[in-house]
Amino acid sequence: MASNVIGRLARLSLSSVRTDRNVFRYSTTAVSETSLESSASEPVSVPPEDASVFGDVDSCTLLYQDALESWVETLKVKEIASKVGTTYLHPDVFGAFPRTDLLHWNCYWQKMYRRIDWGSAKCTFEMKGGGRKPWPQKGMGKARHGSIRSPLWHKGGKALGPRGPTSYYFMLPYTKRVHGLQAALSCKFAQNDLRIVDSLDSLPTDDPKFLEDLCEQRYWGPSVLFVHEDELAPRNLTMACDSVGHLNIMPVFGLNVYSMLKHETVVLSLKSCEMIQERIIYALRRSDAHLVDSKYKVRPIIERTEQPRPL
Amino acid sequence: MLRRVALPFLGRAGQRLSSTDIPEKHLDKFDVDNPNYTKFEVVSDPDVWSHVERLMPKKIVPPSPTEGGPSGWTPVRLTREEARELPYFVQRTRNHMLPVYQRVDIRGPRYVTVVRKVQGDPWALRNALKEHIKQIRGTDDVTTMVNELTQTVGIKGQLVEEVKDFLIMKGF
Repeated sequence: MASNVIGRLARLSLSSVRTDRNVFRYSTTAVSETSLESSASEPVSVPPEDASVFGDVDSCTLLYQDALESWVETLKVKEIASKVGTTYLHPDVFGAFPRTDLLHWNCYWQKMYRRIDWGSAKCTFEMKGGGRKPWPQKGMGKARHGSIRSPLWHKGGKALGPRGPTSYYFMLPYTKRVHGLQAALSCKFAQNDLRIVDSLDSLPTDDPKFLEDLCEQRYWGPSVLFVHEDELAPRNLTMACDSVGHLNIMPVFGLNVYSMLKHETVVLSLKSCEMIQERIIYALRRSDAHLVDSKYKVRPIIERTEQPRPL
Repeated sequence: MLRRVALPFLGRAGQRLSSTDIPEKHLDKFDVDNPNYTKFEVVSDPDVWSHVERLMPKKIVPPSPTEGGPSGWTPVRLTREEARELPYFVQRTRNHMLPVYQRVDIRGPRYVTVVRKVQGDPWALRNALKEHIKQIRGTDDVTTMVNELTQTVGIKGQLVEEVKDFLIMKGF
């Protein structure tokens, strides 16, 4: 189901151009259960004007659009006032124009590429028997027939029926997949349905009730998708989500448009947010984007021997 | 007729060898002692690495140059303050080019010049562009289209250069 944009390794592709990050800042007051009201402090900072803060080489988006700012929450307590700081987000990733056509293309592709139509019907000649002419052509007063398995007959073969398992596999172009993720993340962010938490490890208990209460008190929708930076999610979260159908966990490389739209709220850990940002920026800036799709070509590429050309 | 050119500086690699000529144990082209390939020397000098790196394909498109070139390409000239006053903005493509394309319909009789990657209000760009084309052509007969869903603005006609000039004039 993954869009194959955020790779499994999520390697640091832009590390050569990356500068020291000061995007995430902790608030001065630490979170404690006694002083929840004062935990959310107002950020006093200027949005970064340079794309290199995000590990990006160049972005003219920052000319007309500020870097986006988001709260960073924690899962330590249930209450809604559990902010531990703020972070800046790249407008190319989280503030793009919501291309609903691309959202639809991605959802359609995710439904279709794995679909196999198992419908199959036997035609006249695949049915058993029917090789003999049932009665003579003339003299019986009956209609003329050559086979009892003709499509006209009861228990006859099927004319123009479905022919065997049919694959609906196709690969959506790479840029459409990238821009689909971009659009989905931007829609979620614009609707305040994208939450960033410091770490998914910060959940103190493996009680499902605690997590459900947490989601309810913070007005996270009934269905929540937690995106973890690693394949192995923390034990507390896994145990808490295990028995609840509408709370799901996903590794960062499995992020896809369909799941994001299916869940009401998407919760990213700070590290997975950075990884998503880095991979999508790389996908937007990479020089070989037009070559990515070649490996998904279904038809075999015929290698012809080079013919000598006239000089 | 194919003419064979001798390439002496390539050593034996320049010659045409059939597969039977090459012993199997010498197929490793990174072997220094392989007689089938050009002699080379292994250097581990960090100063030389930049010359190698220069030849390797770049993984990401380098940042936009700050000055234009003889081809007529210019960088984005808008400042942050100017860009925020405009009701629209046209993003460059990943290769720092203007996203202006010509679409051919009905195999030729209909041409539409399309501006993609419009941010903000596409109708404002369409109005400004329409006025500009009207002045150039000296006619009121300018047909346009706006696709809000994909944020594209189109003008009927083969007007890629005119539209590019307009956008460069605006500073995009």
